[in-house]
Amino acid sequence: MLKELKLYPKYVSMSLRSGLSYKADSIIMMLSFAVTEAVSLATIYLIVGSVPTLGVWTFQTLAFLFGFVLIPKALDHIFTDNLWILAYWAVRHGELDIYMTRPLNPLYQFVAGTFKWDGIGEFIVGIVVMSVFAPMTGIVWTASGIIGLILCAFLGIFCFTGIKLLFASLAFWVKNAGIFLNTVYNFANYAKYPVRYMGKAFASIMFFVIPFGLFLYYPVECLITGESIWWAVLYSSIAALVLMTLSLFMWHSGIKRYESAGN
Amino acid sequence: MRAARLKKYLIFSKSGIQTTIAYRGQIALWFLGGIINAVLMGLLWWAIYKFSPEPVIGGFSFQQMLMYVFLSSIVGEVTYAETMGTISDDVRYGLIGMRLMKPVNYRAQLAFTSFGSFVARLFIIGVPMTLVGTLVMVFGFGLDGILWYNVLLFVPACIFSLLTVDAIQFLFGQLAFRTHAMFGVHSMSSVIIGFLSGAMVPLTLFPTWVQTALLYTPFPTMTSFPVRLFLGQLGYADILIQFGISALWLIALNVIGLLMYKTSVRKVVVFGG
Repeated sequence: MLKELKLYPKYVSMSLRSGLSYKADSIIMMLSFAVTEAVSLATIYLIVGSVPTLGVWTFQTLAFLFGFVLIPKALDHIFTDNLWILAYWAVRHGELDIYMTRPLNPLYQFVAGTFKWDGIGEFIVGIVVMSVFAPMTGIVWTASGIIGLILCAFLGIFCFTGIKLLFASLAFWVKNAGIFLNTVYNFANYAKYPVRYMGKAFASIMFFVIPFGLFLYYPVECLITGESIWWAVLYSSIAALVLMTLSLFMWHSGIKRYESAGN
Repeated sequence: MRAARLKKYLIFSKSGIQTTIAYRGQIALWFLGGIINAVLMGLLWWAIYKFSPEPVIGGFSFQQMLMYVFLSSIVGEVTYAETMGTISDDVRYGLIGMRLMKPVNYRAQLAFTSFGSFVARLFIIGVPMTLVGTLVMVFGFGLDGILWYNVLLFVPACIFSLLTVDAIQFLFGQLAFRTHAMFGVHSMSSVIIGFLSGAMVPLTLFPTWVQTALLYTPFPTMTSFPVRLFLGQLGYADILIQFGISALWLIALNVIGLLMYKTSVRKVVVFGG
């Protein structure tokens, strides 16, 4: 564990240096994330702007939710972006061989290999949007509420990573799991909308099956309705624990099946 | 002579059709993803209409909005072009060298391939899904206002949409000669195009001045125009004007694209042999 921690800064500096050699490319990526998020917020504005209120939600509260969703998403993106390569590419092309021959945990090596600092763009957008809209939401801010929200964001990172690893590991069975991961990951975008009013079936899926609603939507809903956010912290912890356990189990049983490709 | 040239390029269309058919399983999966998205958007609109004091939002009844969401995802799927992806792959892997050596116009080759893929997608996805979707919406949800001549005009509108998508992708594809971050360029351009063409939200919900400004851009041609035409929301005059604007933009986009291409080609560096 200690070895892994000590090595991590080296991995980060490696990623940063390779990133810096393509400076313009990184800027384009960051810009592309920022544009994507701006358009997404504008979409919410145009859709929600057509009605005065949506139950407990208004455009201001939904914008705050939008900002919150970006925080764990961005942080997960910065640290574990390589999981997309696992889903689309690495198993099919036998690229995991190299990690299995080294005296370090293969999953750690694989994930640490990429540090996507351009994800910071998303993170900044999230913080800015939250700060701009927080005073307009009518939420009564208490220390407990703020700490709870930060904890939820922190736990949300693990939920994101868990979901990504779970579906990326399918690649050990189906070789290219990209489409599955992509479809599931897309559900995160719908946690930005008033999940609870979008039908019982959909809400149940978002809370219990692909729990984006539970760890992204629910904490903010608690703040708005005045419910205790610590329920959200509890549920997010359970979600994080279950998802991480399941996904690590999938990875470990998958990598046992792994066989190299090519010559 | 002209016929022979056309025949030469039609081979690329044929290969576009064949490639699309060969990957039909994968296309069906992507399409399924699109349908899931359309269903989720439909649920969101259902919630919005439930809370709306008025039954019509932005000129759309709830049934029309559902059809809009469904049909715009079909149009997106049918008029999908790989022009930009092909250019960036050709540049990155050095295939562009081989392409330039052949007595074939690169631009025309890309356009004919896109068109072939469009024809295959139209028959695999477009026609059956539009038929099923329309029947379900009309008889299941009580959608009205669908007229046979609008349905017929929908096909040329989709062709205009495809040609515009292809021309814009060729334009953005020129960046492949200048940067390696094509993933970023691709996602940024598709988000902006999706938003301004009405694939995410109907353009009638935009502020009026934006709507007016967008009318003179090539964006509505790609989604908003064909779908609203199908729904019967446009009068004869609107339809004629839109086809005219689309045609003018197609010429302009292709001229700009070719001019840019001329400067891009000078930048080509091919490694390997």
